[in-house]
Amino acid sequence: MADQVVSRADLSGINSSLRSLDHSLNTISNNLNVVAQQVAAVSMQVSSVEQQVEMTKNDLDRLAAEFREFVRQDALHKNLQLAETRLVKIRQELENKFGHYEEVRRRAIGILQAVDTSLVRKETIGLASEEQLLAAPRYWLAPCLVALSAWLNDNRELAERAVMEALRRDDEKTSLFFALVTRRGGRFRASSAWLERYLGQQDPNELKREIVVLVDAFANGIFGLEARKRCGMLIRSWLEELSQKPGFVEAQREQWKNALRAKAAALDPTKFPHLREYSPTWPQLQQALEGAHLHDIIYQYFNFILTQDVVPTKDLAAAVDQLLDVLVREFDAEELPLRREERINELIIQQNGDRQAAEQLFANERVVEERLDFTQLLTNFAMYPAESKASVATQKLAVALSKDWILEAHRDLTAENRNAVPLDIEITVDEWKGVSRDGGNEAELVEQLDRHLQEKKKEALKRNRPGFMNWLSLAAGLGFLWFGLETRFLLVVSAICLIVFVYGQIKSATNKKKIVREFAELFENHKQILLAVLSDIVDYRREYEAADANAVLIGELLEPVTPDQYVYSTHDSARTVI
Amino acid sequence: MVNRVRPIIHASPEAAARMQEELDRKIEEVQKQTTDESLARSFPDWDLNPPAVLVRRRSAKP
Repeated sequence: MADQVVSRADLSGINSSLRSLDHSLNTISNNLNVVAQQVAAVSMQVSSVEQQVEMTKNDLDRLAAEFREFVRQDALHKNLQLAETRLVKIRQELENKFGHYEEVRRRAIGILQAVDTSLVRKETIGLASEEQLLAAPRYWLAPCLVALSAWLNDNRELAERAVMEALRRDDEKTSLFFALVTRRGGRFRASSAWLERYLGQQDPNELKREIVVLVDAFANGIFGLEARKRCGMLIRSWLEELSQKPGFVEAQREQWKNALRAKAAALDPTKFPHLREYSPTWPQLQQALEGAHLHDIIYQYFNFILTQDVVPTKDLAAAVDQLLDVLVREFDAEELPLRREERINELIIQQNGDRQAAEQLFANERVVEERLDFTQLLTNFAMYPAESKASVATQKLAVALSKDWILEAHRDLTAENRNAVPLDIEITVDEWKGVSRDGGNEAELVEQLDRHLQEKKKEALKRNRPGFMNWLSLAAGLGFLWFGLETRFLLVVSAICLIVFVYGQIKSATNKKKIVREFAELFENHKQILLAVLSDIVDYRREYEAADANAVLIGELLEPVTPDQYVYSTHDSARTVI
Repeated sequence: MVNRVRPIIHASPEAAARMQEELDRKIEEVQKQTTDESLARSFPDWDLNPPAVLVRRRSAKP
């Protein structure tokens, strides 16, 4: 090999440049450190500013909240002041315009108490009443008091003239006043006539709440036996009048359907456990059966009402007397706008100037003044006696008057329910699906189930057959055995392949037995489930049929009821008397 | 709640009349109990009845 001479290179320039570069890098690094320090300082400052901003924001929020609260308080304060000022003005106006009405009311209460207790001479009562008439020239109560005192003083002519004047001023209130006073005084014939007059003036579309007490009272004979019949006939005429309205019958039917439907009870959750679990049709079946059970519930309900004895109580008479008290204290229609304004301002003061809360309270108070439709009242009496405070007599009356609508609503419900009963009942056990109507196709369904499981078993067995790899291992084993006669290594490979093949075969045979056994068990299990479901179906159909048969009982119970029957103590007697 | 004892349809006329009498008696009893005797005694023999003129309905919907 030839000798080569390498000359020594001079790298000092490069060294120098590298040193210079190193120095520059150090400088840059230092500078970067300085920059980093400055950035950190700026970051701290930014954080500090952020904190300050946050604090300022909180302060601002608090200030805004305080400001809003201040504005609210100010508004409340102004509302309060305004309400107080208005209240004074309204009361002054009430005093100026209707102060004498208040005086009449006070005197009326006094006179009624005086005649109740016989502590004041009749002449004094007469004198006081006449003074009131002069003081309140338009108020209905003043001539009522004159009529009452004239009646007490046996001055028929004056009494009748005063009654005419009172009726001219307010026929409705005068009629109620005398209905209540004559009832209290035991003049039931007069009381019946006055009550009939009062009820005759009512609009059945919008009845006052006091009607509930009056209907309950006359149905219980509190206004006398005659009033039961006369007023009963009168309210029947209300129904006839209401029936003339277009769409009335449909609305009634719907109202009663809802009321009857509300009586439905949920099915016992332990009933038909297999049908519940294995039938997708169950929700419809359940609803239909609950609907069928409703017949008995409704029957028992009305039967209970109609077979109870009417027991008139003193409480009802006390409630009627309370009406007289309310009537006498009641504001006149003329006063109402100012009285309402007075009330709302009182509520604003009570709520410390919160007008919204006061208006809400006022609206709630007005609900009491809400008027009711007579048929809604009847539905409430019959179906919700506790809530509507209806006695047995009133419930009987309400059922008797509403009988046609109840029957129609019930017929509708029955038809709807019967249409909703599923003809075919589906059964699902795992992946198998079957259909039964009455549970009578047991053999057919068992066969279907068997066929289904046989198919599944066939598929499982097919999947269990030795696969391609298994046969490949056989072929490879045999191939390697052929070629391996001279090479020991191939002989070993052949043995492994053949072992794999034999293992596959054994495994397949074992699995096959297992599959056959499992499917046999599965069939037995599914068959038991199926039989249990079919048994539930048979029970279900029987129970439905029995429950549905009760539908006819309601017709039998209510068809013979006539609206006059409520006047009798029991349903039994009514049937024979009518 | 269910009144299973009382039959619904098979009441004899005598039993019905008896029940009616019983109810009338109860009503009269309550009437007596709730009548203000003092007021009742203060009234003269004649009744203050409403005039037999046609009553006008308070309000009516169209």
